[in-house]
Amino acid sequence: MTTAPAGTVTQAVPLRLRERVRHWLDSEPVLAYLFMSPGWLILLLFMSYPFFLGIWISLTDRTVGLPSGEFVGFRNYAELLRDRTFHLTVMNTFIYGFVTVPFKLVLGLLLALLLNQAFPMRNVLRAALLLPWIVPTALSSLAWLMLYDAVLSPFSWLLKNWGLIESNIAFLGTRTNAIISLCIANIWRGTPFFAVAILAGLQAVPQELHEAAAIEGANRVQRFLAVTLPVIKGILVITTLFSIIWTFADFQLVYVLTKGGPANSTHIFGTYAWQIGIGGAGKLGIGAAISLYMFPVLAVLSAILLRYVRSQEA
Amino acid sequence: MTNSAEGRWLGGKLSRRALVRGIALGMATPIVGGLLAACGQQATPTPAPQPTPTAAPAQQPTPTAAAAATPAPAATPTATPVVLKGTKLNILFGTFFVPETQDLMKQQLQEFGKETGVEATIDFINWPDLQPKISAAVQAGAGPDIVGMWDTWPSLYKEALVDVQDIVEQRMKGEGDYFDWVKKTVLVGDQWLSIPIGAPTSAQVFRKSALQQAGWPDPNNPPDTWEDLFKIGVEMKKNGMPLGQAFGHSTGDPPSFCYAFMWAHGAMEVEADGKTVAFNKPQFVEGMKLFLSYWKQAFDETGLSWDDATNNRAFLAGQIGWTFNGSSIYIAAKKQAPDIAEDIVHHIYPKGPAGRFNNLGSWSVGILKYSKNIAGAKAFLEWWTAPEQFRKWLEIQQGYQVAPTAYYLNDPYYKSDPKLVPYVEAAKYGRNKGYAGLGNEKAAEAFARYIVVDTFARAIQSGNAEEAIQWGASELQKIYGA
Repeated sequence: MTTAPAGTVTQAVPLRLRERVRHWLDSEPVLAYLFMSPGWLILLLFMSYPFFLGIWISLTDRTVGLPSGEFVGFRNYAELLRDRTFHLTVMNTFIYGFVTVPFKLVLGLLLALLLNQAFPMRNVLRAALLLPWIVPTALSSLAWLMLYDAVLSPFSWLLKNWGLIESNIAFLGTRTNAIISLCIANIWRGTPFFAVAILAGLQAVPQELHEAAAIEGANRVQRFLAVTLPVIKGILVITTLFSIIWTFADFQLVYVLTKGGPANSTHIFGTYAWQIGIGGAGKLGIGAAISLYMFPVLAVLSAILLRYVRSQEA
Repeated sequence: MTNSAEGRWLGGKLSRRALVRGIALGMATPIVGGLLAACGQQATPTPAPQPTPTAAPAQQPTPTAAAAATPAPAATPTATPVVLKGTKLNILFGTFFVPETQDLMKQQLQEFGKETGVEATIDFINWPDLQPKISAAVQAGAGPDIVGMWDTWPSLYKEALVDVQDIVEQRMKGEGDYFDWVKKTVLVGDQWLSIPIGAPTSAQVFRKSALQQAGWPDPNNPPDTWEDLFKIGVEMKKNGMPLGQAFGHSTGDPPSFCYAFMWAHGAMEVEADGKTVAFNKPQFVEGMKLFLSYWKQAFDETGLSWDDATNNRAFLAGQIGWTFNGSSIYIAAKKQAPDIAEDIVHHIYPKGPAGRFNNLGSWSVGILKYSKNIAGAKAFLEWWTAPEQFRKWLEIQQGYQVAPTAYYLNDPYYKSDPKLVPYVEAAKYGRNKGYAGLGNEKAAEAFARYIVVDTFARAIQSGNAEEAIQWGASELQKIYGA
């Protein structure tokens, strides 16, 4: 029996392997998954991994700087249910989320309707409208911090000069004042998003429909309700849902303006989780649990959003 | 697979399908490879090369005038030769109220770099951001090699800090023992994991003219008790110069007032056993009621949202006539408003029924275990904490930072300006956070959650002293009783 030369064998194996890989790659599903793999991996690495790690940490008593903590089950979640500051945090988050969004929606809609009219410098104004949205939040929050300053606030200065008040207003000094001040700053920052999105929608409204309605005798309000609103309804729903999600998950504005004070009365999920987990106490387990309490709300909102988008696609 | 002419390139060698296949593989491979590599690195970390142990730089810089006045022994070089040249070092500190301190530290780093060949850099970040930054670095296992820490933090990061007993012993040999409040806040058990560098102290800052207008007989000897302070505050507020105190979520001035007031009225976070909460005391409740009765009459009522900088601004803007602060107001006034500086009088903390106390714990500098240049970091700290360098650092702060040992307290910069003497005197009345227990991780947690500060803020908001103190006691119980 003759033995094949060694060189032939080693050459034959890679060739077969190459053929198999080529055949494998010819399959459409394989190719499709290969194309998707970068996106999947990025999602896994930057979204799924931190999320599941967060869930795991919330089930432990892990603290900053110490080796991984011990598994404590749902103890952190149960502790939070007895924490009065956490109760206030939940209430604040809902107030912050559900009070600001309607204002942003209405103001954004009005602004968009205004900017949809023809007038000089319209494009400049449209660009300027975006400023609150594109300026980094931390930076604009600092500007608000100066505006609300207990000592040097220009608002207090003006009102004092007009003789309307005698001493400075404690914009961030009581819970009610601070929540109102936070909501105003949030509305200022979020309104442009609504305005720009709605403005884009308004431009898709066919002019002919407006003309036809006008010929039929519809006034401005009727035309808005019967022609414009049905066309931009989708955009209104999506921007509102997005805005609620972003407002719920906010951090920067509250952190810069009040750090959750006075007396922990203005915390929202993000800032309270930070204060407990990172800001000093270093209790990562409880910090993660606070953040995850936000998850069901955001999950429901995201589900509604996705369902709506799919229904529109269908 | 198509064989048509338009589906093939490079003389028929490359088909469209092959091109697509190539792109897909090309996109996927680096990411998969990178991920696998990253996972591999995480699983089996490559040990970082450590430079061999260190010696302090041979050449010591010329001592300052102060140093010349009380000559100190030079840092003793360690025995083993060093190879530090070319290594890197990054240091993280909070910003300083005396900004020249930062320039000096950069200059000192340059000197150290010239002498050792270490490429050293330093970053200064806002106080409130310092701890989160350190926490994140410790958690990630990457970041600065050396960190400046506030009191109680060494306990919090004990697993992440390098033992620096050798340097501390060297310092104690040369400069004597540390103050008690230093040891109670920097020592972790019986381990030195960071080197004490003292702390800024606070004192009462008055406008003499405001006291005078309010009818205080001798403005150079301001009120010495809490009650007298509140009483004169009423008259000062009538004249448009109220008392100004921060009660927001800020780590400097709000605790200065709240901890001092609590101790002066017989309460404390915890007993010496470190477990029994001693916060809800009748004397404290009475003291809080007294404070509340004067809040609207004597204080600027916007103080609930003030942070560490607000009272400085208010004082320099002439809106308040009293506050608790470090010497930063006076130092700034000397430059920007000499008339205000002239009008300032400082006084140590007021007395209460239980005595006179102030919240004092030592800052310290530590090396993080993940550092790839522990030898370089130790060499730097050995060099920088030696009197030749450290004295310059204390001197440039003009008495703002009280040294951790009595060794420096007779230096000219603590005595040259009589107005600053109360800041040094404050060191005698220092109590650590977490007193009568240790300034450990539990004290750090209570502090980080602003429990004592928020007790005052709640009392001001609700007007109910008992309820606020009960709340504080129950929150402290969760920490100390756990």
